[in-house]
Amino acid sequence: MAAERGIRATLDSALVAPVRTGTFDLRRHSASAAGVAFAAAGLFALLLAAVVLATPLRSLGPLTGVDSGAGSGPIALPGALIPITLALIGCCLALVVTGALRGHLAIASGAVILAALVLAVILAAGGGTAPLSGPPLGGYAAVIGLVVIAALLRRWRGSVLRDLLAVLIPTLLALVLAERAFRAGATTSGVRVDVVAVAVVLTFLATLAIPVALNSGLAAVDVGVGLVIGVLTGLLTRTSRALTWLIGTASVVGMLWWNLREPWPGSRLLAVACGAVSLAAVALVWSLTRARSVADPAAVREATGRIGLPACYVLAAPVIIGGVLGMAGVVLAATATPGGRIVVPLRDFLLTGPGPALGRIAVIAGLLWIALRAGSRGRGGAGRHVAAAAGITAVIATAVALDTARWPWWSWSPAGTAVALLIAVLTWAAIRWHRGNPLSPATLIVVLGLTALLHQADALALPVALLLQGSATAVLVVGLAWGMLTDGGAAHRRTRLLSRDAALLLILGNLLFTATILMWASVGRQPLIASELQAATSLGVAIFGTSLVLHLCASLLSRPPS
Amino acid sequence: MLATAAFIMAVASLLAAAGRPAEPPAAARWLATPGTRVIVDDTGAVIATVSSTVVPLGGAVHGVPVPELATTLLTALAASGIDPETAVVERSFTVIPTGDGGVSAGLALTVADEQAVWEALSWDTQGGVLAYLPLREQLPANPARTRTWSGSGLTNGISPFRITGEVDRAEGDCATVTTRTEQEVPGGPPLVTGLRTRWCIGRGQLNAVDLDSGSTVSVGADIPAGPLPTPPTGGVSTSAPLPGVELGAVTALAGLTVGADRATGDLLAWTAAPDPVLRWWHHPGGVITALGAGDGLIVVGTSQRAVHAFDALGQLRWTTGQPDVAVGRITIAGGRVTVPLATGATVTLAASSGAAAPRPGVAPSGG
Repeated sequence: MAAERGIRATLDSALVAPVRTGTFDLRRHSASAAGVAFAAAGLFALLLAAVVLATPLRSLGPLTGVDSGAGSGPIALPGALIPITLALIGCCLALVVTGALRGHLAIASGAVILAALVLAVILAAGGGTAPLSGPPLGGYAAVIGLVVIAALLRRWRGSVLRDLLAVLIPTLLALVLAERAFRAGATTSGVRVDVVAVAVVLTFLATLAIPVALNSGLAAVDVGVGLVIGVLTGLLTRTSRALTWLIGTASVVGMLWWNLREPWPGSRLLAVACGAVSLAAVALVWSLTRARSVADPAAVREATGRIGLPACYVLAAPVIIGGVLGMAGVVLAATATPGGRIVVPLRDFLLTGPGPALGRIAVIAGLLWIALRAGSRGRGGAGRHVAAAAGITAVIATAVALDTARWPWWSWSPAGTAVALLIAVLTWAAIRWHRGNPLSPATLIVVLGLTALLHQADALALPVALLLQGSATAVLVVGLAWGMLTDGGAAHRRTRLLSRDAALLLILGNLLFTATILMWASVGRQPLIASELQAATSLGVAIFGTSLVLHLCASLLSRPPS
Repeated sequence: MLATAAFIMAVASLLAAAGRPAEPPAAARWLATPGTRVIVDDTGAVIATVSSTVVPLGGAVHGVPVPELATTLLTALAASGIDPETAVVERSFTVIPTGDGGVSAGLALTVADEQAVWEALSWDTQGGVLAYLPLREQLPANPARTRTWSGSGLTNGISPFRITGEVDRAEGDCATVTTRTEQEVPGGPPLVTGLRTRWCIGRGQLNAVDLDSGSTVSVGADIPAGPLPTPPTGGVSTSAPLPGVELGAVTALAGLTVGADRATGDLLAWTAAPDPVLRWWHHPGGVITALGAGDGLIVVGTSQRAVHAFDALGQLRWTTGQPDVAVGRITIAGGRVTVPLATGATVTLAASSGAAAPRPGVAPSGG
């Protein structure tokens, strides 16, 4: 009973507390905004359910098949998925535009331009060889109507619901006309151009969902970290010393077996050595930021969460810009507007050239800047944690980037780092014991639990993975759900750039958009989009999840004996 | 309120576009049930093995899985005044006995509307286009003794033709009709061909007799039991493998090249160049999403979540449904067919029957 109470108490602090403080507090918003948020959250839950139940959903009716010869191979999807996806994209755009109109002029302008571009590219894809006639022309008129309405709403703002409907109507009108153009194209060509066109357009649109997918990796690890700390701490503080040692010994043996049984890419020795080098750099950053004196797991998780989303956007910036340029290229080419040829090389530079590498360099530089700035200014615990989180994330981002660059003398892997960490933890425990201030067995076992998480950071998404038959999608689902539950903190405070309602709508629009893309990729079995999102989530796990685990380990290991 | 109503209408419009099933027209009952059919000559020798598909047009001609045929069909429908909203199309392999005792053949569209069953051919034995514009009326929707009809048009929009037809016999579920086509030939006498065809409800065209030569072909014969017949050597010849084919996945079996047409979802088997001969043709339904060959079988997965196995003669050996579409390369070895699915799972089937088979066990390591 005592152990049960302990687990409950620590789970409450590790999992329930972040939800309590981070969830959307609709009492702080207008009734209109709260109603819209409630509806959006319901839609979001339905979308995640559709992702989890993709296989039974696909078996409900006949599939529409088309093989366009594109890289993704044959497509087979439920026919109703196309209009449903288009309607959902319309809802996401309307949420984002309505929210942005309540923010800074630059944010409002950017959102309206992006929405107009997304609608234009869908219309251009549906227009085929005659983009400026029939339904597409009416659709372009609706897009212009959207821009005009947005300008009017900026001046004469009403309730969130009224503004949302005012934005939604031209948006959906444009999409209805695009759908009609798709069908007309299919009738004249004999090929399901609607399926092909929507698939191509969503490939570009999916780039906009990359930051949330990256952050979902961190969120999934955050859930795992909360569970590990909660369960182990609660269990161990109320069990006998002998049982604790038994669990500790079993943990070490289990860890070694788990890490060594699976095949590693490349040399194991090199991976462990590179993991050790990374750990040494992390330890250096940890000591330089002087975060030792304020060790607190909750603060560590919060600090990593604060830098996570902005870093994800910087990391994904080249891909997002490339995707936007790709969409612009489609519109320019379809409407025979000059400039289309200039866009293509720039798009390729960002998407397949050195763009992603530039994003990594930018994020590493940005994190180092944050670490130095927070370290020099932050005298309190929060500042030191932010500095440490930024510094550690910069180290791991560098380690991952070097591995991606395939340097012959560098091979970084979570498994190699986990083994290096295991050796380091046991060595540190021995040193502490020798010095006479040994680590408590409970702390040691929690750290070992976290080390296990490092190897398989998304292990706690396993129940969802069993349903989805794909662990990467499961991580994304868990991360998105956790994001919906805990990302609401930003909507609690008014900032210079965004009002509370604006932040609420933007966050919801962003999460809903990513869930829509994931639903399309899962129910429509779009391997390219799915693998793109899954790769982003895996990168988020590798960089931000690993950094969070290492930061927590450092924090726990440096605790003075209780 | 107005804005809310407009919003609801827009969403309803988007969702309504999800699909509207069409009622089959009256004449559609004469089309064959989709399936595999064997075509044999007078002596019982297999000429070809083909499968047919019935596609309701239902307001969108994109239901026709062949772009070239869809274009032909659209033109023909427009010229014939047939409403595509109320038509059903069957794609099949049509075999026509010729005056010299041989056969010519081609991929055909048979369209059924309220009035009649119409036909448009797409290719002849040399790969040339044989589109009849407007469509040829093959059978009235309600055939009755002494019923006659006539039509005229321009073949390929150039050469005038006239067609007359009459119902010879109509009893129960079957009808026998005779058609005569008079085709003008520049600088020569008109080419007259006569055909007597027998149709049955739900079974399509059962046989065709050339009225001049008396040669007959039978469609829908039973698949020969026992040892498989040798593939015919003088079958349907065409350019390699057919005009307009956009080949996707390709494999080989028993000296045949077997390829999937990306655009149409057809499965084609032809002999090697320099004189490729189309050996058999199937439209399993939807598009082909996975293909593999081995152990004397061609196995395909389709977007309709089905897996079909054909032998080297093009005969359907078995069909099985799967929870999702097969993707990528199907492997066949050791009596087992391994099919990767879009879910990420892999299913193992018995090559002999298509029944679910246990996965091959991992052999214990030695030492």
